[in-house]
Amino acid sequence: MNLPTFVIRNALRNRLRFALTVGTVAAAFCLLALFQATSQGLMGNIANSETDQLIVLNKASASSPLPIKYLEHLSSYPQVAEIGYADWFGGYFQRPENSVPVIAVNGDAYLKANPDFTLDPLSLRNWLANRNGILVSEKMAQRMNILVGQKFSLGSSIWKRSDNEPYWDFIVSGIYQTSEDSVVAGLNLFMHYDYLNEVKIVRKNTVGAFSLLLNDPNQYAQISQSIDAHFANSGAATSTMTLAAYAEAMLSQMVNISEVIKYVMGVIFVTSIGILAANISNNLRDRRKEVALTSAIGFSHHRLFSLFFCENALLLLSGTGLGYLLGFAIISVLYEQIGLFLPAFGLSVSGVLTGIGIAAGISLILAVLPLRELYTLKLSEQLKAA
Amino acid sequence: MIPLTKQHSEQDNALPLLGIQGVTKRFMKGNMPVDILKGINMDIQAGEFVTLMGPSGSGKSTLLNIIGGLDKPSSGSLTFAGEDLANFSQSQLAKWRANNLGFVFQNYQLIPVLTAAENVEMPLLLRNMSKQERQRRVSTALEVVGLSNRQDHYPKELSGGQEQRVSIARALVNDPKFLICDEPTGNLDSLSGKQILSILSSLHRDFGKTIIMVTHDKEAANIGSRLVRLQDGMLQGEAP
Ligand SMILES: Nc1ncnc2c1ncn2[C@@H]1O[C@H](COP(=O)(O)OP(=O)(O)OP(=O)(O)O)[C@@H](O)[C@H]1O
Ligand SMILES: [Mg+2]
Repeated sequence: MNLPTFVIRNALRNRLRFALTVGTVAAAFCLLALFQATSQGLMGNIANSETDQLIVLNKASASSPLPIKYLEHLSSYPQVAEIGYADWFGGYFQRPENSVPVIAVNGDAYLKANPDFTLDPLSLRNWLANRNGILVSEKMAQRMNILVGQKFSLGSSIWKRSDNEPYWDFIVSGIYQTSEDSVVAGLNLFMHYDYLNEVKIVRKNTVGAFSLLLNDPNQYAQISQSIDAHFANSGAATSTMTLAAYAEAMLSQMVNISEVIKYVMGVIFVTSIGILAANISNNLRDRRKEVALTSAIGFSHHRLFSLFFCENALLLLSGTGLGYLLGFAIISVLYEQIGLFLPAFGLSVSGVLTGIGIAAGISLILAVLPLRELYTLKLSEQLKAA
Repeated sequence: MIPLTKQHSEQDNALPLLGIQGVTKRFMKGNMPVDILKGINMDIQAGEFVTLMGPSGSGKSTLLNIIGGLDKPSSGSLTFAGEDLANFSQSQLAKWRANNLGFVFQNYQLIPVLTAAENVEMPLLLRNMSKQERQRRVSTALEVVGLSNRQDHYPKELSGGQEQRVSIARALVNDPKFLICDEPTGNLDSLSGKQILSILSSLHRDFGKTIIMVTHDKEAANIGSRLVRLQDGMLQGEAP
């Protein structure tokens, strides 16, 4: 026997209590792992993104249009390497409930301004040659079994056609890829801006947004300010921000995940402390005589304290480890579905380290409990014959 | 081979192994102070086997606890091999106990989740000792108490007498100078009690252990080399 064996024997002496304690801690940390994975999925790429991609929107609301002639001023900045523009199409297949995320873009220039998207040269030529050509993201193509050359018609919930036809015809020109670390999910279909602009009746020659690619990511703040200042007093004032900031703003309209995580961590912290504190004081109560005996045969307070500390750390770490393993298993299963929309969905090293940090913090706080008990334990009373 | 060392003959006779000078102990009964020990003076020489008798409640266990450093006297002093114990910190006391004392309690105090051998091994975990050396000592100690064949039994699988023999083996395994036994036969039938007494007797006679033992049994008290009585907080024959 050695001291670690002694610690394990003690921890396992009440199997049911051990299992319940470890199980509860594991459940708490599994929950944390799931929230961390979701946060990572939603925010992971945003947090790490470069600031060389800007988006220019109407200041009044993101759905209000901007005149296409703003292009002229935007092109005048030497720091702007590429400019694209895009408009929302509001597509649906057969019925308005089956929405299809189509945006109308200015061809080659849009792809250059959005380097996250890549397309092979043959498909590009094919697309540029077809007025009603459309590009489909790889993820969408896989999910909906779409092949190059396929034809389909979509309705628009935003635009009426000047010829009163209900549908817009498309032919799939190519499948594009989205880089794994992009801040956008990469689900959109790209049609030609001109196809939309020529057929629509209202808001001709307007766009929903401009996309800018900068030569130098460090210039983004200065350029954004300059653009917004320039258009401040024109017909449509602009709001310019990084693509990441835009993605984050869209997200936080849905859910403020980092707030949620903070609450989850708080709840886990408090519950784990509660459960383990109850466990420690039960153990100490059941074992007072043994602790006194161990002390009598020469174990110092210091050593007894380390034994208790190790026993709790063992419980907590088993719970944390089990929780993350469980979380990892669930995340792997969920990834098949969620990964399509949130490619970064998963556990990061820093996330797991945060979990371990929380566990360590709990261990330290709990360490104080047996300390107090030990110093007030009266050996002679505990060792009295019953 | 027995690792237990013979101790008494080499000890300097002028210096007692344990010196007790003017030890008192006061407890509070509600708001009333009660003096249980009223000034105990006693020297125990190395190699002595002192038996301590006295009525129930006279303070025998209290005195033993003070001697073993499990409790502090209200006043007075204790010396062990010439060293004053009063100034020892908690951890120094623990270390001193680990190196010099073996305890045997009336109710054995074995740890239920450990086997007989593991219970005996406990005090050795505090030492820097190889696994082989620990195992050798454990089996020797179990041999001395005649329990080699029960080493893998858990306490609940042993009789009271066997449990007490395990606890004696645990007290011995560190080869301490001094054994403190508080009614070691108190919970046992007379046959098991006799076995325990003969083990203690042999530890004294053959291995030169210094022993102090509390007992209520006249016959048991006679196996020691000196009998002391505690009454009204004083050792018999002493003036207040
Ligand atoms: N912690 C304590 N607080 C208050 N009184 C105590 C405490 N411990 C012991 N006493 C009292 O001190 C007296 C002596 O107790 P002690 O256990 O030393 O007696 P004893 O001689 O060992 O008796 P027995 O033969 O029954 O074991 C008793 O009256 C007891 O009630
Ligand atoms: Mg007693």
